Amino acid sequence: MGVKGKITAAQLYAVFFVSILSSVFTSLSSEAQGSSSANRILNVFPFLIWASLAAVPIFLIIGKNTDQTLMSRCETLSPFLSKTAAALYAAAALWYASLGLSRFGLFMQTELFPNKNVRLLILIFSAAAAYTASKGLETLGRTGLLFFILLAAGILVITGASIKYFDFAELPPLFPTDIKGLFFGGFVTLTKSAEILSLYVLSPCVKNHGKKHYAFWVLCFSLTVCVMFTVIAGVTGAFGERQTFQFYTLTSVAELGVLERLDELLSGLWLLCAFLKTSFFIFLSEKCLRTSFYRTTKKLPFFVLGAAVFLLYLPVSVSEKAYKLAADPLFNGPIFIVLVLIFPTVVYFLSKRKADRRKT
Amino acid sequence: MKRFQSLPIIMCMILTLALSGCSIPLPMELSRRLIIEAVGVDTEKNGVKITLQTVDAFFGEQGKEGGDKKGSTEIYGFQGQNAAEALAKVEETTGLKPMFSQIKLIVLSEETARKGVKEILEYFLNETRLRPDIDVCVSEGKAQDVVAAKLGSSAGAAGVLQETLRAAAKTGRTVRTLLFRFMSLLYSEIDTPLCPVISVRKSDVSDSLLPALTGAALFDGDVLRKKIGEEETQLLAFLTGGAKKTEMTVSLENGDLVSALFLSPRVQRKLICQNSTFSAVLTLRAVCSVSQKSQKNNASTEALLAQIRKQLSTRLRLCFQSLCADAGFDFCRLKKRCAQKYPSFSAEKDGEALLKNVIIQLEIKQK
Repeated sequence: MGVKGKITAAQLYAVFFVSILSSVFTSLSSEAQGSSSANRILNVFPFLIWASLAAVPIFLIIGKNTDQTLMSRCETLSPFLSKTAAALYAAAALWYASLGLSRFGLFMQTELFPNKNVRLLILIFSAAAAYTASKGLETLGRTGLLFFILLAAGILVITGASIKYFDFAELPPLFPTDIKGLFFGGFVTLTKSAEILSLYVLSPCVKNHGKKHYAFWVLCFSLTVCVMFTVIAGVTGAFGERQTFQFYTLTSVAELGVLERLDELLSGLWLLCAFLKTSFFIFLSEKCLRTSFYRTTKKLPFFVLGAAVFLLYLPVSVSEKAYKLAADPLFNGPIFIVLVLIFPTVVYFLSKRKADRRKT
Repeated sequence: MKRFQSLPIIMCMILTLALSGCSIPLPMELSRRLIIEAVGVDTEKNGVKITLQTVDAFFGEQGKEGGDKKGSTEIYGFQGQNAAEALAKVEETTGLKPMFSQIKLIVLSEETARKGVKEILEYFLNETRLRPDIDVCVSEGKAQDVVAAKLGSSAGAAGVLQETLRAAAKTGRTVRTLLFRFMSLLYSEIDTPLCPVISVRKSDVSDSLLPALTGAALFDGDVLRKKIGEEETQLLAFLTGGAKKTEMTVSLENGDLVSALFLSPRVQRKLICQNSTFSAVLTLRAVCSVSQKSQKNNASTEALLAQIRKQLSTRLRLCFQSLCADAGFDFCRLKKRCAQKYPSFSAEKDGEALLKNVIIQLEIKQK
């Protein structure tokens, strides 16, 4: 029997893997993460550097025993700062949930139900995600692990089914001619990994969590992304680069014996991933607010937050242009840097200085 | 929290309303769809003519008005200034909503291909939601004749044409080209898209029509540049490693004709750069199987293989030179490979020089 309200590191990183992979693969090819296929493949290397950099403040904040949260560190400085941080991180979680939902909505609107209004479906989707979030972290952890297995199997099937069309000649020249662009691309991939924000809040809820788990996850994730983008480039070539959803294009050409419509398999997988992502961010948002603003055990806040995610989704999903504007790395990048790197680092050093002063 | 317990069930029930089969207020029944299996594109004086081969989902019922009923398939033709205008007439003429996701192949007439195919293929890809893994081919003569041909199979003419292409591609008699690969070559601009040339002819034993493959069409950008014959196509497939199993007839010095089966030819492309002069070496490795009857008439296997090697090398070289003579082509993707290996190399500038410096090596082993 596990400790109540706690999940294992494997479950948490499975949630991360599923949730972030869905963001990376549902990215529009026009989104600025390096324009060419070569950059998308090579992006993983700067991503490794950025992810390592992001780990520094995370593991400074959560401490050696991983029992600290950002809010608890803020609390030592000032209760107001703690409340502000909680509100800030809750809002960020809602924003990332709505971005994920918008990306999924855009995918449904362009590929699955063209020219149809999917808002009703997204509303029901948000409500269901809020309900799942209300079931707690253990449920999310178990679901994450299950979805991870499904996603891994799905990716293997899709790769295996499309490999016969793989042609090395379709691969772009892997020469990093634009180093600046490459590093920016790696950073954009990191900003899509906003789930790592949750480590500041959920770390005490994870059993035996350590740096090695984080490192293992970053490596596995990078390897998967690298392999998948190589397969996409090798199969779809220059044609894939011009498609809105490259991974979807890959699945639409894949066939496995009598199974020819593997794009439906991907649609199903993305539905699961987007669902988990939305649920996870709603849960994270509620967790931030619960620790600082209220202590109720009622489930109503989850549904209020679910409604907030849906309301945020509405303006973002008006058009592809609106989504691109909202997902622009020049807008999201600074937010991410402040929330993951700058603010926690400042809080850590201030709290450390205060603790040192108390000792002396 | 009891009031929340029934929530998942209510949500599931509401979700069923959003399923694609339950559109409200007008459900899209199969009888209201025009299921298209093949598309033919011809160039007319005033624009284009689109010929659609459709499946009669209710075979056995009375044929629909305006449709030329042939077995389980129906043929429709629409004219317009462009593809969009022609296809806009489908619904108003037939009263049915066209369904493009079941298309198996697109047939472009030679005339259309010579005028450029990018615009029309992009229209189909972006507007009709067809699948990108369908076959693209060029017709000998009018595309309408191929698409509307009664090929004597309940599977429909599109199915027969597709199977013919698949079978021929395996033996290297043609180069099967899928739409996404064709477009990829088109967009990459440093390679040559090519696709099979197809026609229909009368059977020798009956009045029925049969599909016939007559080589490949080579494109320069999106414009058809040259058509090559069946043997050239076969040699090209051998050169590029596109054929897994190729049967060729080789005439020996004593006048005997030897039928040789080549399995899994592997092509190695080496690029050599010396003092800014590029040269390429194509090394072909093949396993050759010659019938015992042919072997009996010859002194030794080694001598036989040497003769086959010599003959095939000459033919490959001639084929390569003939193809390269038409400037602007990049066979075996040498230009692209060169550009990959040497980024400073300008494919456009030195491409022709590269193609002149190609050495073809042939290694044959007997099975």
